[in-house]
Amino acid sequence: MNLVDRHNIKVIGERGPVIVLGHGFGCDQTMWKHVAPILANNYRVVLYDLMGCGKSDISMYSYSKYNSLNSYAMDLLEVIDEINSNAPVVFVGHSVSANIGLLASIESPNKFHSQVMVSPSPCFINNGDYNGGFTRADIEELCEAVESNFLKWSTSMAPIIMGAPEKPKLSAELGESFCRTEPEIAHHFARVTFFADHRADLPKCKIPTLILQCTDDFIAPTSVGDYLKQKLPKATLVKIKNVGHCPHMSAPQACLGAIDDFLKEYEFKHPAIL
Amino acid sequence: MIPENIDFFENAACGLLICGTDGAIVRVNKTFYKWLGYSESEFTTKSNIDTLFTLGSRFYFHAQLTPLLQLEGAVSEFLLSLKGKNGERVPMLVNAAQQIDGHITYNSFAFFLARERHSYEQQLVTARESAENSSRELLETQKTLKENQYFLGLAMKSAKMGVWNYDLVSSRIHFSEELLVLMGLSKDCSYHKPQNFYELIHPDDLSQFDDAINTAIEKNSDYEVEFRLKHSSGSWLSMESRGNVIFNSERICTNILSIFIDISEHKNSQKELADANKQLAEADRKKDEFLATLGHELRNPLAPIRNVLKLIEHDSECRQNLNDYYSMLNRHMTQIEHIVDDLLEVTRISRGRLELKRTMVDICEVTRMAIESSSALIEAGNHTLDVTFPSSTVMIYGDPTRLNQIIVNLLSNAAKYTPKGGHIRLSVQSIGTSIEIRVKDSGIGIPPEKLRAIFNMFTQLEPASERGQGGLGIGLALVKQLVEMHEGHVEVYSPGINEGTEFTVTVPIAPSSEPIEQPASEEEGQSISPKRILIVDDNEDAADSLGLLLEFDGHIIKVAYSGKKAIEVTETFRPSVILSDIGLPDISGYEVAKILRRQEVSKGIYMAAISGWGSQKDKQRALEAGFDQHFTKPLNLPELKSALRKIPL
Repeated sequence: MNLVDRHNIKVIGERGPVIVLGHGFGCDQTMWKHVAPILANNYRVVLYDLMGCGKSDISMYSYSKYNSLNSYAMDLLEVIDEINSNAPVVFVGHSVSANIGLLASIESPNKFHSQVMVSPSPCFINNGDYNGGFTRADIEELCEAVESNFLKWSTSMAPIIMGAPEKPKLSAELGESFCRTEPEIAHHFARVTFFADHRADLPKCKIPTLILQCTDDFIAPTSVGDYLKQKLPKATLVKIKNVGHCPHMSAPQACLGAIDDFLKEYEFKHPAIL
Repeated sequence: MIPENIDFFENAACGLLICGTDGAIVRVNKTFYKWLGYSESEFTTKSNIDTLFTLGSRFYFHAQLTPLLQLEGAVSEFLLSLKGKNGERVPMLVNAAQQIDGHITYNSFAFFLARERHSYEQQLVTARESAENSSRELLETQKTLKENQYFLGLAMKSAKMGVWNYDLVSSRIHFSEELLVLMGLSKDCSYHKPQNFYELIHPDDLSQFDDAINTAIEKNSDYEVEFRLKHSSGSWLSMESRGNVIFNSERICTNILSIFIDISEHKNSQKELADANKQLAEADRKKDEFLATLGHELRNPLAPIRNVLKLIEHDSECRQNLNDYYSMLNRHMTQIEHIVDDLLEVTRISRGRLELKRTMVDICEVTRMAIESSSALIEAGNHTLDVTFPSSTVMIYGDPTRLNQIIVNLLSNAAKYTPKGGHIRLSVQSIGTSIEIRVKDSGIGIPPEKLRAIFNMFTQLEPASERGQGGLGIGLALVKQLVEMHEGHVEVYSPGINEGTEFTVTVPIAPSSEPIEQPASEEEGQSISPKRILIVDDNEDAADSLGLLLEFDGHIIKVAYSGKKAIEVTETFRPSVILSDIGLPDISGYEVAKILRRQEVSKGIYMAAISGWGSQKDKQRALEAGFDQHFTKPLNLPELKSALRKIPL
């Protein structure tokens, strides 16, 4: 199976160094639609769907393999290898993908020039002095909400209700939408994502890291941004004035500006330009 | 008509809420806050949409709904839990759309109570699961059915079977795929028409095929018929049809349903088996012939040895040591003769050539003679022999020679398979209408697993001592056959190894009404009138020694070693008795008799044939050739002498 199809890899931008964009939970690469075209003016921008999400090849999905974020990190490294960049890349990861980037950069630091964490949280659950914002029960309730929203019939029930199981095209249209995920996979992925705890990995990260923290994010409170800044060896924290968890969608310009400053500071250029 | 001044927003059938992108509530309708249990005044304190959700739903609202709303401009059918005034969970379905009014972006939400919807969905999901399960079960059943069909087809194919269905209503014959393959036909062949199909049946078998079906229809029964069916290649298949007939409600036969089985291979193998059997029978016959020839060949040199022994016996009176040699030779000679006799008897039986010469005999007398014949062997083994006889004479209708053979065999057997100094008990007892002869020894016994085979030909146990003669393993087989020819049976019993063995022979007692024909007792010493005897035998030693023996009785002897010589000698010697072998090198004994009988010179000559072949047919042939009597080899000397005595001068 070719990797491009497996992860629905898209490359936009014809020149410049490579920036890889990783999407967050419950969505796919389309969430970068406000950011990617602008980045593509100066960089080669690589978009991909996490395994089990969007238009990735779910036949390659395995519950046992994708039982932790490590497998997603390995996928990211494969994607980076696939695009055949002869220089380290910048990885921009939203939310869960920030953790995936963290793990991948610890595994193969040489492949990364630096990384941008958009609304990251190394751990959602409060633990001692650590304030992740939620209790274990809260996360259980979230997972329930995920489960009830990905009610089995949303995708696979549709053709049967329509009485048209023999018309796959119709059912494909019904099921196809942005950010659709197989219900069972979505539920599994929610647990993997929201029960993860990668705090211990933070000090191992040796590459420059930009943390984009929203000023009012219910999911990743500012305390988490401060914690990350403190634990990551080479971290820059930029607070984006924004309500919500997706600044790259609701405040793309602020995000792009912060990224631009960060990359300038760390002299991210195409090797040919050097 | 729609009533005027109706506040559509406030009283809409769904909860409506408008807020900014930061979640700050701008407007909310009555339906919505009523559903959550608030009054209008109470609800104004709730300023942000975030605070309406339970924690998990709020998380989900941010993690999923909001990004999607931003991405797509609208979302529908999100199920989120809201908090009621009293803290209760109120599940609602949420639809949202983003509206841009100038520079301001609003999010408008429509809420539907989802309790009913929720349970409806659950029902749908349950219904779907059950539908899916049914469909899975159906698929499984279909799969199993398909598998079974496949296996059935495979079984039919392997068994070379096919289904034949004659539909009498449409007058069409249906063949299963397996049957088409067997017949080498394709699906679109023309043999679905009955008249065409019937042409495939061998003309000689057609009527029995028809008869079988007609009988089945007539009697409403199953049928079986074998017939030949033409394969598309033109070759004939041997087929077996096993079928039944199907009637409709008006008792009219509608179908004839049958399994056709290709039994060509079976037929071929049957033929092969029959051929193999024939070959085996032929081989068996040849073996019998060989054994018979072997017996004869052994017998021939034995005759002169026996005769010479008799001569030595005559001379032994003068020389004591010769007597010892004699008894030693005699003992071994007896044994060899015994074996050869058995061998000959067995081959005669297996070739159906043994006939009993039955007469009324005293079984005790026969037993006594048998004891005498076996005494040398019993003595050699230092065995003691106890004998019990019934108080009165018991007559049976049998062949004394064979009866003697039976008992001798059992006694020899006991002597042979009992270690030196053993004990043998022989009892003759009449029980009801039978006589029971028991021979019991203290010998090596028979292991239980060998008991069944003990009467089989060529079955033997290891003898009790080195001295024991191996024999041919035919003694007991012979006993069994001879006993059965006397309408009796023989049984063996042994408690086990070294526990001894007991044989019981049971033969019927002759009915008392049967006239008892006592053989005329003749004394050995009775005077014999000397006769001129010509002995004809190509075995020169046999002829010479028999001659010498007969000379003791005062007869005048001449011998001829060929048939022609015999005829020649008869001219000059003028014998009153001719004893002739049948198998002569030039002309047969029968020829000799025929030629002589045609001549004047043979008038009054008593001619006896001496032949290895002793069946009634052989005897008849001898009489037809002109012989007065037929003696079967081995020649019984007392019998010969007795016959000679009876010849009138």
